[in-house]
Amino acid sequence: MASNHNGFIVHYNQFKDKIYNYFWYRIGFDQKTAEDLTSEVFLKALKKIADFDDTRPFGPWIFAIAHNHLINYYKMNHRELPLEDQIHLVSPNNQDIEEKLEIERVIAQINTLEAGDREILLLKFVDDLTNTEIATLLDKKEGAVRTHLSRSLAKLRGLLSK
Amino acid sequence: MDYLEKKLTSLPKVKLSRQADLKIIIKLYSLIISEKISVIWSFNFFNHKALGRTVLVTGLMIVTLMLTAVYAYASDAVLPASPLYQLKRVVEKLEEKISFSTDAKLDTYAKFSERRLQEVLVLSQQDMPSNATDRHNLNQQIQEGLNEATTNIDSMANQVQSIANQNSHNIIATKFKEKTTPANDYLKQIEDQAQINHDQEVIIKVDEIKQNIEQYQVILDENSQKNKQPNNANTDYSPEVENTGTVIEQLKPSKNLQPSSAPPNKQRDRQIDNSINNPGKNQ
Repeated sequence: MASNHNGFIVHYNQFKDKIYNYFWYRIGFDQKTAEDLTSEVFLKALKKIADFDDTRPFGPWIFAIAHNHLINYYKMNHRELPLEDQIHLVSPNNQDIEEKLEIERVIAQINTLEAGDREILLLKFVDDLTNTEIATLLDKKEGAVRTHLSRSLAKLRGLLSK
Repeated sequence: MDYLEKKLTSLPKVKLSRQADLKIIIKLYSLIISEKISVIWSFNFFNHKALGRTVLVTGLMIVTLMLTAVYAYASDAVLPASPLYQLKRVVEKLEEKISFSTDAKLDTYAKFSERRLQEVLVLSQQDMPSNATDRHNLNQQIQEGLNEATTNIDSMANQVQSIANQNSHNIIATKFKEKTTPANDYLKQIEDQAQINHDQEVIIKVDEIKQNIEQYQVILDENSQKNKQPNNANTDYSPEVENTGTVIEQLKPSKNLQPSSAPPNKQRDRQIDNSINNPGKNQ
């Protein structure tokens, strides 16, 4: 039990920013809400740490909890926040205006994609999950993830080229 | 990786603020500590539960036994036939053991003699059982009660003798009279009841006890008088009494040691006559 708890703190330090980032991109870049959701996810994970198989990677497990928590959050708030609602909050540091506008345009186009396409792109490029981890999280085969990812990129490319 | 993938990869990655990170860490450690405490508590609680149950049951048993013993000790309704009677006697034995001073022992024996006589009175007032065995048991209980009362009165005399070694004789004579007054009252009532029941055995026994008390009292009174008049050492019942109150045997009445002032045992004579004249009345 003690080693589980100590191990959990190590995992927390490893994944806290990724989980925060995951929520930040999906609840309209609301810092406060993303922090609260991050806190709730790690507390929930700690309570369920006994269920965690430590022979398997922690990442997919904590992202699965975050994913389910986000779904619950959406259900409770009766909506799914589109990215463009708070797109102006994207304010990366030390980036020139042109690059900033380009990023905002990409995010805006991502937001126009279907939910499944948008999610897989965020998981891959924002959350930095591997295809295997995405497959585990979305309960799909790795090949299907690869195909889905390729198709979603093609769609986004098409939108950006317009 | 093409341009689009590079663009996507370069999307901003936000980090949890230091303040938020600290809050979450505190929450996590609080949860860890509370879980550890709950584990420790549940473990100890399990042990305490078992121990507590044992202590509770034992405590309840002790309290119940004590309350029962107090009831048995204090209740006049607990008679020799009662299952609580032995408990009552155990408590009395305990009381006898913890009566350390002579005065306390005197009080204790006086109380016990009164109790036995009171029990005998209650028993003798009961309807005589039709069953021969029950009748025999009742008579036996009455006899045992009277014997116990006799023993207690003897013990009282012993204690009085001890006091006589320390105090003036007129005081102990008065004290003995005072302590035996309730016993005499009970004996009178028991005798009246025995007359009604035509119980010659009880009548004779009661008469014997009354004689003993009277003899003790007479000897104590005479010793008291001798103490007042040290030159007058004459006695018509025992030369040993000249040495006033140092040997218990001096106070011990015997069939051959009738004090001169002891009243004649008219009642016993009368009852013996009655029993001779009416042999069938005695159960």
